[in-house]
Amino acid sequence: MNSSMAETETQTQDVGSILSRVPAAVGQGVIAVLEHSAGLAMLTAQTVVAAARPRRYYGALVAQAYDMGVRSLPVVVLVAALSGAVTSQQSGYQFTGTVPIWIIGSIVAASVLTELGPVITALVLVGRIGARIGAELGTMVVTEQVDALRAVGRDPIEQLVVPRVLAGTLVLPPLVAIADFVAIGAGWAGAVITLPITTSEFVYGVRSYYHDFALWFGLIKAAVFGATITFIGCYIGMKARGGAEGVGRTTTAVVVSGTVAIMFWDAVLARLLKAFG
Amino acid sequence: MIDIRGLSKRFGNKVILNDVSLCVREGGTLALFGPSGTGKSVLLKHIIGLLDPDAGDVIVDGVSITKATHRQLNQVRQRVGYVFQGAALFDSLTVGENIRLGMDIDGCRHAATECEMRVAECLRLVNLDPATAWMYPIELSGGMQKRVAIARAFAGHQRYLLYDEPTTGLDPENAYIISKLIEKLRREIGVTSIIVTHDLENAYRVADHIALLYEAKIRFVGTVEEFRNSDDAVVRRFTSPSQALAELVPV
Repeated sequence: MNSSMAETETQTQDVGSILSRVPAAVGQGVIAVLEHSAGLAMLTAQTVVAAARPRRYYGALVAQAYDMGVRSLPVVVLVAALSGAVTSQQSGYQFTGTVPIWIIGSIVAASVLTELGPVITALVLVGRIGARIGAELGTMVVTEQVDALRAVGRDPIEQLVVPRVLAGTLVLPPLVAIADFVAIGAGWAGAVITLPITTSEFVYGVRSYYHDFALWFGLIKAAVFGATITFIGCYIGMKARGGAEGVGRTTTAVVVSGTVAIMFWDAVLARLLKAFG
Repeated sequence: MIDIRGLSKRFGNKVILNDVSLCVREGGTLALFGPSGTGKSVLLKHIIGLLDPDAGDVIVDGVSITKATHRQLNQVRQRVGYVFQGAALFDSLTVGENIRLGMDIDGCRHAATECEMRVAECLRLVNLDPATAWMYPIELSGGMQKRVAIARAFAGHQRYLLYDEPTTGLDPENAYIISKLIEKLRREIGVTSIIVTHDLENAYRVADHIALLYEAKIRFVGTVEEFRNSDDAVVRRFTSPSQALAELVPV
């Protein structure tokens, strides 16, 4: 009996000890959020100011745009094709016999243009581009290359951050346009092969949904996602500390934060689509 | 002239520098000694504004680093070359491109041929083949990377050179080459240098003054001879480590 009471007392003390730490943990969390908000605002301002001198980063911008655009194309096309094919088949299984079959074309176009095209492409590029930027800049920070840049009188924001953020913002819309085209094409192929639908029915479905605003909105989303992925990669990369382990943590943080940020922007921009569309 | 006045810096609760003052005369070479982790590199980074002090100031050629505008700071940085401990060469650039970075802020004021000639001249000064300019840092040995880092530091005719442990991690032959190179740069180009080092032989060979940073303060400043003959127990741990440590830690 006594040992049971002592155990209960110990548990009460443990709970009390944990609860006493809650305010400090909340306080630290609030401070971290404020610090990151201030850091992001500062980096945004520095990036905007540095972007006004294109002569100094033009070469790096072209190199980054090539790397992000051309080298990402195979994986973007592959994922877009798979997502288009899966969408048409899934909607076919759900709706065959319940609604006119041409609706499959509308569902594929609507899903791809407003959601799948920009979001799936962005999520792929969080890993492909965001993680690379985080690891690259993180390594440059821990090996003092960023300090070396400042030591020779160069601005690391101008030389490293601006070309990457601009390249991401410019390259994502054409990549998403290609992804949209490939996904709808793969959706059509998947539908005519596996479902009782003809090409003309599928095309009719696509055309009956299609409106320019959906396409443009998807491309605007792509630009926002491109800026977000690269900016997060740069922000977290430039804060890397502590050797190889620090760079590893940086890469993970970029992928997690980038994914959450893409989903956050998607939710916010979906509201705007509803308001203006 | 580099004039460090009452510099203090702490990271968290740890005091790194506490009211440190030091003056490096024009054309001189100062070796900065101290145990590992005492803030020698931190002190060096304050000189070109890579770190902001909690108190005190650094004056380079009459310009206060803490009060300098962005433009003034960049002008100072163009006069001060910095050789980082790990060389800090840019992996994505060739050796030639790395050296060109140190030449001027726009990187395009010089004509291309003039730039190439200067790169070749810098490489020759550090005893490297000018053809090395087309190689990437990853293709070079540690000693060669250090020499390229030194070439980058003086490529823009910098008047001051700050070396952060230039011989650390190198074999005796490469360490000797780097020491001779530092000496040659002082003799032929007349640069003023501060060398953070643990390498006593290197310091005796290249420096005319030695400072000892100990427990966040400057414990000793004087000529090489004064340093060699100092009776200070802490200085003796560096000049005659085996004897001083045997007295300090009897086995």
